[in-house]
Amino acid sequence: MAKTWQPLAGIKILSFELAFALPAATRALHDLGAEVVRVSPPARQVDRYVGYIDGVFQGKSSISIDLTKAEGRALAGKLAAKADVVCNNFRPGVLEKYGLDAATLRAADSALITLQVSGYGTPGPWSRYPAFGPSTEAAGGLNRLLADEGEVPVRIGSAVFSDQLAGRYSVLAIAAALEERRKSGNGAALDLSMTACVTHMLGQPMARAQATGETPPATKNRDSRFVPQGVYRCAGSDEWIALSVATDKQWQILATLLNASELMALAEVTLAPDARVEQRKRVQDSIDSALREYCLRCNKDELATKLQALGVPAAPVRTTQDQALDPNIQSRGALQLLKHKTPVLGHRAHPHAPLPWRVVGRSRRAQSNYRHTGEDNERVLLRWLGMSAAQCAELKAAQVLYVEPPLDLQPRRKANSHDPEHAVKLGLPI
Amino acid sequence: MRVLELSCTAAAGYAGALLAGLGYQVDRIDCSVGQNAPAADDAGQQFLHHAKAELAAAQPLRSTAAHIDVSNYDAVIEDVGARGLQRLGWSFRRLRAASSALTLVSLSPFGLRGAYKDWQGSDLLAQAVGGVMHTSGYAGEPPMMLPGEAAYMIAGLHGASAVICSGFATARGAESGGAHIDISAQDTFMQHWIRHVEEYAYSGTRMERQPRNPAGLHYRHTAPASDGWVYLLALREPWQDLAAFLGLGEHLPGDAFAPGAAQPEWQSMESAFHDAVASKSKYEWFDAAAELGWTFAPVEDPFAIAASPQVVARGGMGQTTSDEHTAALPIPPLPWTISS
Repeated sequence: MAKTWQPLAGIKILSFELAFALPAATRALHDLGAEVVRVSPPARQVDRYVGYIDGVFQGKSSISIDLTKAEGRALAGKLAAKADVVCNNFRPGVLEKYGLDAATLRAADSALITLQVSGYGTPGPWSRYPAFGPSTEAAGGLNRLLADEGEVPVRIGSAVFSDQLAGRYSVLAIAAALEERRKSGNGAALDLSMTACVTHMLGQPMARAQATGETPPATKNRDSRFVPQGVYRCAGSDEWIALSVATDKQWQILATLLNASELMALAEVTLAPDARVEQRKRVQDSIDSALREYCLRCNKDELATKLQALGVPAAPVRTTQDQALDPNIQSRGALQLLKHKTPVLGHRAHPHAPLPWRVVGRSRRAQSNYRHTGEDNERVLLRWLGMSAAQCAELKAAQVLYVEPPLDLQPRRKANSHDPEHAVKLGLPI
Repeated sequence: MRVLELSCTAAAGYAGALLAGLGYQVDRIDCSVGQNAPAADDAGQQFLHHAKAELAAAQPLRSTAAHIDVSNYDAVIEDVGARGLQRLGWSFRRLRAASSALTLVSLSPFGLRGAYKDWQGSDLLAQAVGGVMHTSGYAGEPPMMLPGEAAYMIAGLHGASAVICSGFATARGAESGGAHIDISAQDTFMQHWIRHVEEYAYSGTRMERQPRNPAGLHYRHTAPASDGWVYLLALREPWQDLAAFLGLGEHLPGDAFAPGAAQPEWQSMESAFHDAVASKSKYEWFDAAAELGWTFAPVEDPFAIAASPQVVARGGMGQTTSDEHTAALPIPPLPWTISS
């Protein structure tokens, strides 16, 4: 087994976290070698479900402290004093109430790095407004860019897109702050806005909007540099293929395959390169029409493989059902079966996503199971604060620490979209 | 820390932009060629490349590469692919011979290893195999790609983190021999709909695109307020509470607010719903909903976003550097603030 690559080994992170965005960040930081302790508030069922199903709580230790008690706040403060990074995605102001805010913690230790993640960031009039990821996608400009003027803005169909995005920017922010601290010895207080993450990822169309004074038209799967480019229905139920033609040679191959005489004639015309793209753009609707007719008869995977073999860029559009079966995802280990301690919903393992970077010649840090609320109380207090089992027992008796039983997971399935064969298709062990 | 960027797409371009924004010195070789090269005056390119040193227009690439002293760099970030590196006469082994602790981050649509390693890609194709698309858009219509080269940008975001993490490990002595990090836009994009992938794996739930005009009063509406669109996200709230909040009470039958009452036909409410939403501005709805703990949101127009009160309160937009050819342009600043 190759040595694992853990660039953040030795870094201690204390995370007051809920829902998805920050847990996604600290999950990635764990995968990079950091030791992450999640301070769990009394768990809402939905948070536990999210942590379990999405895997964002994996790998972290869980300690449950009653922060409404003075002893609980003191204990959390002692843990924070041992951490390199303290982060939270409670609503801004909540940790202030407990004396665990960035200013208080950093006054005691200027080398500490703190991170506050929220929907809109602080300061500002919206800083304490509640948000789910999809709210921040709308406020960050994403929904509007998917529609033309006058059309209803489009919500993307992920539920966690913006959360995951904020998690990834949080990783970058913390990594940069750690590197800065290594050089200067100074920590920092970081404040990340999920909405601003969406806007920054959209930096190119945002810059175009600022340059022209208007929102760019929705591209709707097209790109002025790739003609044709689009998504076309294939055989099967709601199956699609995506295609991007980048060069004249690729277009000639595709036109020959389509066997549409008018389009083939277009492919044979000798013009300056720029003019050839412009020429194809003028008839893109006709090209799309021929492609729609052709693709409808084909299996998406077979056609993508065939086109790629011919040198034409194409790829199947993955569904929730076949994402885990994608040959490239499988061969790269981008989803790996995680074995549970006890079967979950009848199966001993389910696929989960590890850190999506492949470090050549090195292995990824092994994935580990969800830790239920308070499962690591004693281990964390011993390791970080040197507390004895008796001291932990006292805190538990005083209800400063608590433990919740493992989640009894129930599927949240919609009856009309349930695939009873999913476990067989994915090869889940019973 | 000095970073050399070889970019022909937004992937390495954005990684370099993030690093430059964090104060790293980024030297760029523009490797985009031919019909697929973005227009030089594109404002999107200004966002990506304004804070970097442009080493040369890389034609021919090999002769440009021959003049680069890699030992001057701590990291190389590239999206030219395995063939592109070959054309340059470069490999990780060769680069590391010149700079022993070098980090090489390779960004590509499908990765340098795997079943699709020889496939040709684009941002659209990375989005297609990386998910999210299939559940975006409307039922019966083609799945919709996300704008702004989202898959490449996200791969670039990972690339920037990889450069810093690897450099951090080397500087602390935790790693000594550098690292070659292979990041696939498919892998990184897939993480952005991981819930749907996991829901299917655990429970067999298939996620599908929703109808273009869903009937009923529910939390998914996006509707026109008096000055723009507002997203009425009030997850798990009873429909009657949402109706009352919007001021629809007088348009509903008397028994509509009885416990467990079903919604009246959408047609009987739709017109009143739109009139009600149009009676206030998007920010008025947003403010009022937030007071109740609801998660409405203004649907911001990319041009107008610079004037959003929240963006202004957090310091406003950033700006590109200007030179004799280009004027300074407002651009989004890094999404986090730092105070010491």
